[in-house]
Amino acid sequence: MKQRRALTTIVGGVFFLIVIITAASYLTYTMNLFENFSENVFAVAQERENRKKESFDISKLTIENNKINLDIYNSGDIPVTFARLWVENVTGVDQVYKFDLNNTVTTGNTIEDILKDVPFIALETQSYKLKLVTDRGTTKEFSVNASTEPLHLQLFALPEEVPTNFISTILLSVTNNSTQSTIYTNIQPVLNVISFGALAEFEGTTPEPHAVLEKGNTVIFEWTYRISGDDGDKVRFEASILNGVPGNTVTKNVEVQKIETAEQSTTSLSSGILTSGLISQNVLLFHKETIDAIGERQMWASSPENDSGEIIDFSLTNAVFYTNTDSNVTINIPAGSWNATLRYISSPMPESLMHTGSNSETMSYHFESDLDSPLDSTGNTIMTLGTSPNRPQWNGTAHHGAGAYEFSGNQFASILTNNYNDLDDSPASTSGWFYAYSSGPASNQMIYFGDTNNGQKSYQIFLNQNGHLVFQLDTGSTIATCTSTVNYKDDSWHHFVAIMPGDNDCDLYVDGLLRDSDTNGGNSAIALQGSIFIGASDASGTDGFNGLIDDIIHWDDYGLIESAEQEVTDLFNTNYGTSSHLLDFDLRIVDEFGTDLGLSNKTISQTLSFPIPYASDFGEYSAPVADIWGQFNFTAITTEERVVGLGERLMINMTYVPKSVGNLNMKMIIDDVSVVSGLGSSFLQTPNPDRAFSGYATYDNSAKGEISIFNPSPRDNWIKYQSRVVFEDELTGTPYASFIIGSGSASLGPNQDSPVIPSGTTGTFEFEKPRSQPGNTSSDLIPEGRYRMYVFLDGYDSAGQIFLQTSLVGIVRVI
Amino acid sequence: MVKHAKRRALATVVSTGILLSAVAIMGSVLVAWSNSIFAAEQNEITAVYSEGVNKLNEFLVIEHVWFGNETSSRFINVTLSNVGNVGLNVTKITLDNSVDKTDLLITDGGMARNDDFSTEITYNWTTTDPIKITITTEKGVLYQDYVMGP
Repeated sequence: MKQRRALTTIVGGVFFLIVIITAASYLTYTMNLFENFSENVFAVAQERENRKKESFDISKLTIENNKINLDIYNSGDIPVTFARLWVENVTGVDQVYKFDLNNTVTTGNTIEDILKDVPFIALETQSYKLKLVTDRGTTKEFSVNASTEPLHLQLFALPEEVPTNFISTILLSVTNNSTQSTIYTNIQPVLNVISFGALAEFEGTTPEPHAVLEKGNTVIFEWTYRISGDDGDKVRFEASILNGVPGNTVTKNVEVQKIETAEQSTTSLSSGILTSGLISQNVLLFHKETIDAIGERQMWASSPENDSGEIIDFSLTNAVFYTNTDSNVTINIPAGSWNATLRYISSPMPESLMHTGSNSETMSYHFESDLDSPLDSTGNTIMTLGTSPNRPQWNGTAHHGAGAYEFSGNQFASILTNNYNDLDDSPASTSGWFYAYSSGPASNQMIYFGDTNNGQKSYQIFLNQNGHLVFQLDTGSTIATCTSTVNYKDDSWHHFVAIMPGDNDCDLYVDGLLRDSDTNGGNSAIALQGSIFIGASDASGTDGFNGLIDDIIHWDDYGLIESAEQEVTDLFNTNYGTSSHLLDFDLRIVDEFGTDLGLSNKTISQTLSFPIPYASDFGEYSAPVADIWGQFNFTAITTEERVVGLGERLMINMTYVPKSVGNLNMKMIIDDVSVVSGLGSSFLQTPNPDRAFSGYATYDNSAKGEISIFNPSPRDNWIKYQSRVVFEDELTGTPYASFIIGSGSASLGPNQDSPVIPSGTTGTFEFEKPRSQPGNTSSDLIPEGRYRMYVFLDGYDSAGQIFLQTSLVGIVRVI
Repeated sequence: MVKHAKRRALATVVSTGILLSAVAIMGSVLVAWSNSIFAAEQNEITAVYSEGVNKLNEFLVIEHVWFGNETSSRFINVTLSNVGNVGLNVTKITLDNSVDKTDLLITDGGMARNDDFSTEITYNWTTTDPIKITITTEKGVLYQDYVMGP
């Protein structure tokens, strides 16, 4: 019995085991499936994440020789491969072309002329819609040569009223307000001039087509015309976009305004006593004065008073400006374009490298404009480009969106050696950016070359036949060589820092990382002579570079330090292009105390970290003394009216956003009459309001008035009797005027000119109570109210030249 | 006594056989039942897994849409691109601008990975009504986009 039970148990156990094994197999299979599924989910999630990281921008688009020359910048975090291009001819019907592409661009780099092998003939006279498709399915559509829907156009004439033979600047603002997220490229403005008696003579240069206009962005085209004619003659400017939507045009009239008592009106320009001319009521200049501006600075439509403006250092403070408050006036500002024009200068170096004395950089070229002799920011050296065919070609959007020079194998630039670049002895450093074509030759390609008088190749930075970057010092007795191990002929931008810490020693950094060092010790100084060459090793183009070079900087007595200060890393991360600085713009209407009203209809723009380009190619950052200021326009668009209510103010607050590495500081100049380049001193321009913004000047009509007159000319000036101040009622235009009667104890009369106003100084003058007839005390005294105040000056300078000039002081309250 | 012992031995063999047979039959039934259950479950979970993974890896983009305006009729050309990890089969394209809805059944919509597919659909589009484009694949995945006539 016991045996039977045992046998049966064994048989039953075998079957049970089979069942258990089957169940275990099922469980294992199921778990494997779940594992596979999880891996699939992860892989798909990764791919979708990659799609989100994919981003690219059009950095250049032109049509040359019937070919579209298109550069694409990879602004995402992942390499992008372009798979297809769609082209639709929107001037014809049903003409659609599809082209297969296979071009890859790595992160942070630009692929140039992506359509060079695409067999498509593009005509300037026709417009196209293009769409790029990546292999991940990302698409970007843009329009070439035309706007396919009406764009927001605005035309400005500064000034709109000019004396005959004066200049008016015409500005066309084009904003891409596309409702279909279309990017417009190769935007070409058209400006027609229609005479209504006045003659407009074009001066200066015709604005170039704008390469790329992203949605929400604005481009401004500028023309300069000299207007001549009789009083009341006009000229009409009519602007549109080439191949634009019919009817999408804007017009502006400029009128010749006669100077009633002009004797020699043209001389008023050469010996102007108040430099700025009439300004519009919607141009609010930034002033340095803080009175009544609740602890910040004033902003109003008034000319700078003198050449003692203020330089605002954004690393120390933000810039806040307020218009004045007026409890009796409401100002309606229509929808339109708000434009803050900043006159500023960029720090030449990131903060870690802002050294002084011999530790500062001695030579710095950023190639921000195309010149035969590119500008050295330090002013220490002079670079000269080779002449054609050895002249490198400038590309305005090559590196960090800004300029660089392209070398095609036999081009070069040379710099005469002097104490600022001849080495002499260690330490020294040289840095720069290069972009080597993968199609470049398998031979040495020189980036920076210097030799001694005996032809010794003493100091050279080049790519060798393998594309490795080499920094070599040759003293004649000792050769120090630093060589990278990476092939940089890869159609990408790379940064190098070549450091000579000792006479026979070298360190080579590429893209912020130390790639090689060679330490030999000893002293055997190199003294470079003749010329240093960029892009080749001599004036024949030997060892010519194939690619682009930018931001060549040299320290003749300083070796960059990476260990503690991280100077190499800081320099590598510095942007000398279109995004050198970041500014927050807060533009809104606030109450009289500057408190935010918290209402959307009181906000004009709140823009964070807006990129500001590098400016300029000149030095003097520490103590700028000349008109070296770069110009940048920040534009905001309002689609609805904004109302500055009773007692409210308009405020603009610009706050610097420092970068954690590669931070370049910037300074802005305000309220300075000596800034005459570009659009003059910094200001905010609003859409044209129905009434002028409140100014900060007040005149008490119970007493004589006082004005200050600054003489910016190189000659001494005198003003004559009949010079006057004019108050024009803001609403009715009724004028009141009074003569300028003297300065201190010195009076001004029919037989007595004013005391001298020496060159570069300010004189204080009194004027009588303004009346409806100046000088007639029985005529009506100016009543209380808001007036536009002008100063009319009649005088002469020490060379005998006569000036006649009218200047707007701004809106003045008479109390 | 001897006879009695022989009877007992036979009975033992028989009973042992019966017992073993019973256990074997029950064991076989149990094994067969468990196999069929597990196999059915395995097939079902495999099918669900395959369906899920294929849907997960399927990714289609509506790459380009352009509008034709021939004298006889208006049409829309739709180009699709398979940017997923598996092949897929487009079975239907629907155009709907709230005025006119058109279903186009696709019989040749097989697309290998990285492949694209274009088709022209007669459709009376307007410049004012947005058109909803819906793509249906064989696995029932829907892709949608909105376009507007030029």
